[in-house]
Amino acid sequence: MKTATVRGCLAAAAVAFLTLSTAQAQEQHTTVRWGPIHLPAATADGPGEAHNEIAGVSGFSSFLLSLYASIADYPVTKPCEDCYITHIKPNLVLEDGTTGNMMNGLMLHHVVNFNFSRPDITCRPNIFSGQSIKRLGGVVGGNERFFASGNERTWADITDGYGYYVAPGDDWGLVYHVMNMRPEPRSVYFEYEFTWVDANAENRDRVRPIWVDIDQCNDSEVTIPAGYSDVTWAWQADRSHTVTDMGGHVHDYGISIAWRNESSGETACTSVAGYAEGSSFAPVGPGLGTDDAHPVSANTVASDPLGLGGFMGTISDMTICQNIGAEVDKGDQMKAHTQIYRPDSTDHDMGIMVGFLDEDFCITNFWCF
Amino acid sequence: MGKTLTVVALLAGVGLAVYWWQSNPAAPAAGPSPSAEPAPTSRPAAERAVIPGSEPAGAAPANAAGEQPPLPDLDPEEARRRQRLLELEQAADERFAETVELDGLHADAVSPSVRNLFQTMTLEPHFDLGQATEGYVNGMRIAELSGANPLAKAGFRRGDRLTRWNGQPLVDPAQIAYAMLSLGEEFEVCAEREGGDYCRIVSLGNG
Repeated sequence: MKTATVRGCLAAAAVAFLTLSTAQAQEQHTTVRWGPIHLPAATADGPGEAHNEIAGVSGFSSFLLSLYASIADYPVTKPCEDCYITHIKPNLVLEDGTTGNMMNGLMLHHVVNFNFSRPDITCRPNIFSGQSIKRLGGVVGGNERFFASGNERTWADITDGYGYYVAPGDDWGLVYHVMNMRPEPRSVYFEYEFTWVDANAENRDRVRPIWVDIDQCNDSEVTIPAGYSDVTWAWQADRSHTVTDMGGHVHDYGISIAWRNESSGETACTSVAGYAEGSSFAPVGPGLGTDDAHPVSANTVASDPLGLGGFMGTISDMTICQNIGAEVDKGDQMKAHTQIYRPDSTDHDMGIMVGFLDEDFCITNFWCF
Repeated sequence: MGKTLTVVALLAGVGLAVYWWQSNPAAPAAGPSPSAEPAPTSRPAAERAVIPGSEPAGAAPANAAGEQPPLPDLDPEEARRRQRLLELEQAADERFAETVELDGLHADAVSPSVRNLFQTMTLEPHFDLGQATEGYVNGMRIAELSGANPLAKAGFRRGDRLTRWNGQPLVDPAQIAYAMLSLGEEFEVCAEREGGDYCRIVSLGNG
């Protein structure tokens, strides 16, 4: 049963900016706040949720989607235009800026950042498709997923010399699932810190995001049985490229997620989950340990920038990979490996990686050498 | 009246599609499926600990029959137009990809300044449905353009439909692929603008 969030037209957009300059590096730091996200009160049946609510769509697309989905009416403002983003650090906060986490009854189940002005290279827009993200792209005109995070607040730090290009006029959007475990309704915000450089002032090698997902093009939620699972998703590279950076997202009991070139045998990145010592949500068994894409165990972490205690033993970290430099030839077989060791089954587990590619040469989003 | 009905039908059709998407999130994917590989060892299941409220209120209904959803009931004319565009796009993509693969075209053969040109510009194939030919395009539209790009400095804008490079019409994806290998530091680009030609010399040295 999805939460039916009905919004009045009075909900005001609240977007705050804070921009600081670092003269030496010509880097700008901008904090963007998106919201408010109105969460209903928790009830005996469960938490109050904004479940796969969509923000950032407008006009005809917004009208169509609002017939059947919860549409937020605040704009998803970009930190910059005609610029290269080099660092993204997400957070979920209350109005006063306090971080929202398990300890104060909030959970960021997931948030996906979209660029509706570009197609997604692993999930092209197609209104006729049976897959939800393809259809979303078909309605809004594009569905490039360039960043995502969960309650562990995975961040992106793009290797020096590279950047994610934001074109003038790009339309951004969000799809998210946020939970309120308190018996009163609350409003929360996304607060993202961006670091970026002006494309007119500094040359960067442009990187393109790649979305790796064990439930590609759908809602990313899969059923996982009790015990050990190695869940995979394969992609034949349609462009020669170098993988520069990657990060992963798994749920409780997840061990790791890796992106491996099966043609060359090279693992581009293994993102390993982290839990506090003694966590009851840590994996209940080992990983395979057969290669670097299948580590034996998750990490035990002793601290977290958001305060480790705030996670109450749930997954609090994912390692990220930077300056990877893994070369992938057009036609290579790539595969994601998600290791999970659960005490019981679930119908909404996830295995996602978002990476950045330095393409050898592309003329269009899909015409590549 | 006819237009009103068309709009209503379109709304209803896309609405149904979106409704399906929202109400059947667990429906099977058409693409590669995840595969859960068997556990190497067997461990007794531990008692599951639950943080109050950490689970969704209820699982969304699955497409239990595992059937493909119905196609959106678009206005037939609009549906044909969209479908045709997808087919043309796919055919043009394939012609470009085949040329690159079969003729062994490699990015190393493209000059650094041309590769740099596309760091801040993205094109997309354009199709005139009335006169489109399978595997070919009717020019290339500028989908993204930075102010730092030499085409922007020459006066081109996002949305322009480029029609010729160095006098060659932009209709054949194979020819466009080869054109990338031969572009020099200066070349002429023409776009259609307000019914006429807008042609300028683009100098990569200024980029």
